Amino acid sequence: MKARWLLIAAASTLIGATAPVASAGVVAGKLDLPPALGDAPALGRAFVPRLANPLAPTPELDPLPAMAVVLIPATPPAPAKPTTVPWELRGESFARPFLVARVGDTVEIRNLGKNAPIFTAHGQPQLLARKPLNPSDRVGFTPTQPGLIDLIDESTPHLRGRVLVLGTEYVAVPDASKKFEFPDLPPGDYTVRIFYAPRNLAKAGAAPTAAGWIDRPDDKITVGARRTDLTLKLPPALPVKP
Amino acid sequence: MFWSKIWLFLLAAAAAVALTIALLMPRPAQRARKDDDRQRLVVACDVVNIQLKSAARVQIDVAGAFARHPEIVAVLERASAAATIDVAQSKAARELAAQTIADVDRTRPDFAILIDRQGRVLARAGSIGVDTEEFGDVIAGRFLVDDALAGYLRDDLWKVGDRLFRVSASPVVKRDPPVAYVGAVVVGNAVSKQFAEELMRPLGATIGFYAKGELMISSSATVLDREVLTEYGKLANSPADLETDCRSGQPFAARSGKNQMTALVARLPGEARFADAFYAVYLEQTPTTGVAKTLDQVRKDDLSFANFPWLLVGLGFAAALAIGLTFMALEHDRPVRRLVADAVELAKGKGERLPEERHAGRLGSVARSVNIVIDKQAREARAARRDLDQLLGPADGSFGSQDALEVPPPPRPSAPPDFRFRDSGPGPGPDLDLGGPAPTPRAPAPPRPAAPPPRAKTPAPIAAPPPPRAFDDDILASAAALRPAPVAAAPDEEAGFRAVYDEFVALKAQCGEPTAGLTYAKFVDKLRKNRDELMSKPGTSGVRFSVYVKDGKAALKATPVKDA
Repeated sequence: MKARWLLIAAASTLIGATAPVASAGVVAGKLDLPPALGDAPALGRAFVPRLANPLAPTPELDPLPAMAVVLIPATPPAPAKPTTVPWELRGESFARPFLVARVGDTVEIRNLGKNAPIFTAHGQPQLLARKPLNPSDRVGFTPTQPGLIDLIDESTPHLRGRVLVLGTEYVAVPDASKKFEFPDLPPGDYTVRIFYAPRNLAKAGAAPTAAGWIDRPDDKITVGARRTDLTLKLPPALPVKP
Repeated sequence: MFWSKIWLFLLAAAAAVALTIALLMPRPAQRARKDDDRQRLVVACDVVNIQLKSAARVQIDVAGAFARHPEIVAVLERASAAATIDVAQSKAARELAAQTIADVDRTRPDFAILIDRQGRVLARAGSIGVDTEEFGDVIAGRFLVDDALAGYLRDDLWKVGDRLFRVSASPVVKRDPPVAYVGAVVVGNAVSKQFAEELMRPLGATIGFYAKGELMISSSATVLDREVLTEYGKLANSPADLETDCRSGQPFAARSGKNQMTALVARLPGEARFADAFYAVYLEQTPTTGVAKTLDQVRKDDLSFANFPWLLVGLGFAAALAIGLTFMALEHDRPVRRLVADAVELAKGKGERLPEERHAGRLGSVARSVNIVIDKQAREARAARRDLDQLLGPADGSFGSQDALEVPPPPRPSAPPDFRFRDSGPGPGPDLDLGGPAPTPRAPAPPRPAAPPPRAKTPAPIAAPPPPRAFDDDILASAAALRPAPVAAAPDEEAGFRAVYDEFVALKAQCGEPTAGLTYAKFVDKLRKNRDELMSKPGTSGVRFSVYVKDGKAALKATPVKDA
């Protein structure tokens, strides 16, 4: 009799332990890039056009570092607690040229290089104080509206950064093998979108290089207890829309 | 003189046209020279572009040579695989890079930077433009480096501090299988004064490189003033291709201190474009040249017969001179000579007046004026004779109706030479000897004509006329016809008057004229009055009375004796 109660208690414990796992879904997937994205865009030009080296093939354009897969829940969840998102500035460039943050999060730029750039947000001059960011110093800003923020250093044409501010926290960045994963999603219905923010090559003060949601049919998924696998096919030339 | 005046007008007009041309001629030349300078600037600007491109290609080759260096490939492969770069790694790589730089002969870079696959600087080497102690920082992000890490060779123009650097980069490829990119190499050269001078050496102009509104470097000490920045401002945001700046740009005037320059600006490409980098090519403005400066520039060779139409100029001058002299001879010299000849003839007594019909124009007017004077003298002579008739009294009781006392006019101080008085002085002979008509000899008394009507015994007193002015004494009488009479001198005045009286009475009798009314006292009284009147004229020292026959009648002539 005593042994029977022990078995019941163990079973109950096991069921109780597995119950939360069954309530969080997993969404994983892979981006299906168009076959010919072509060469990487020319980054300006001086006196002669760039030449492909004759010793090894030049890689095609790699858009993955500039992409983010976003799940937009049908029912907005309760706002999450704001956090600080670090953004490392390493010498002449950011460690990640494209960053994703939530509304209310604080984006903190940490200068690990030896220069002292003066960042401004295109179209939002009040977002950052106009002063040099000295080496080893840091500066933060807290976006209050979703959207894309373009940071530029007026004295350095190549030092650009883009921050995508979203109202959701369900964002995944594809890896070099084009795979992404949302490991812990509440069950529910979601819309899958892909944001693409290529490198901003515009001059200071000019309109930034176009960025936005990739123009493709939205994928609707329902997240349940089971793992959801996705393959997101992207259109040629990766057109974007606001 | 009509044609002479026309010719003078034509010559003056030609001279004015020549002067106008001389003043104008430098201007088109000046304009052409300015256009040449502008064209030269455009060419120089274009050539600078070409030279910069050529230098970039050479530099890319140098970067490629660096990237193929086996040891550089090896150190970058190791660095790319490491989590961090240590000092020893960096130092070894720096020494390797420095040695590689030293191995380059003519196109030696000023610096080289070795970058691993992750964009970290493994080492910096070189003399200028880099801190050789610095390593480990991320240089990826620069367009040049990102392109090199992506497999491309290219060049760029960086502004680092207050200098511009021409830079090139090459990917470093590990060629041993598996082939892989292991990093990149950047080489650079400062845009130095020497480089600027070499750019301009074949062009004879000056170049200045600018960025951020400041002059970075110039090929000479001649530096443009701030207006070059204003001109750049007009070009800065042009949507046109940078390579068209030289050909589409307009040269402009600028100053360099006190010097006037002509300049042309063109934008510089690459990252430096974001720093508003540009270059200006300029020349000293051609000074304005006038006639004097143009003449200063004439060389001896320009005046040689081969280069200058001396023959044409000489012929033109001779023709102009000949035509002018011809007109002068026809319209001036010959008429004047003719008038002079006629005047001489008149002076010689070969005529009584100048032939006006032979002289046209103003010389004709001169002839007419002379004739008017001659006519006037004749009229005055006649008037003087009438006056002497009155002097000598009525014909029936005193001197007779035919008596005449001719008084010569006083000499004119400024009479023309051809009509000049000549004082023959006292003594026998004519008072004047101008070759006039032969003197009338004292012929025997002609048959006495019928007695003239008696003159009134007491003629109305006639106011003494002014002494007649004439060109010569012989206008009034022929000097040769005079018979000299003793001069009335003070000691023998009475004797002289007596002698004249006796001679006059004798001549009247000889001419068959009555002498009944002619008394000595009256005669002498008149002579004295007449003498006193003549003596009152300046330059007269005495009066000589002479008796002669005129028109068959006795006549008297009073001749002033002039001062010696």
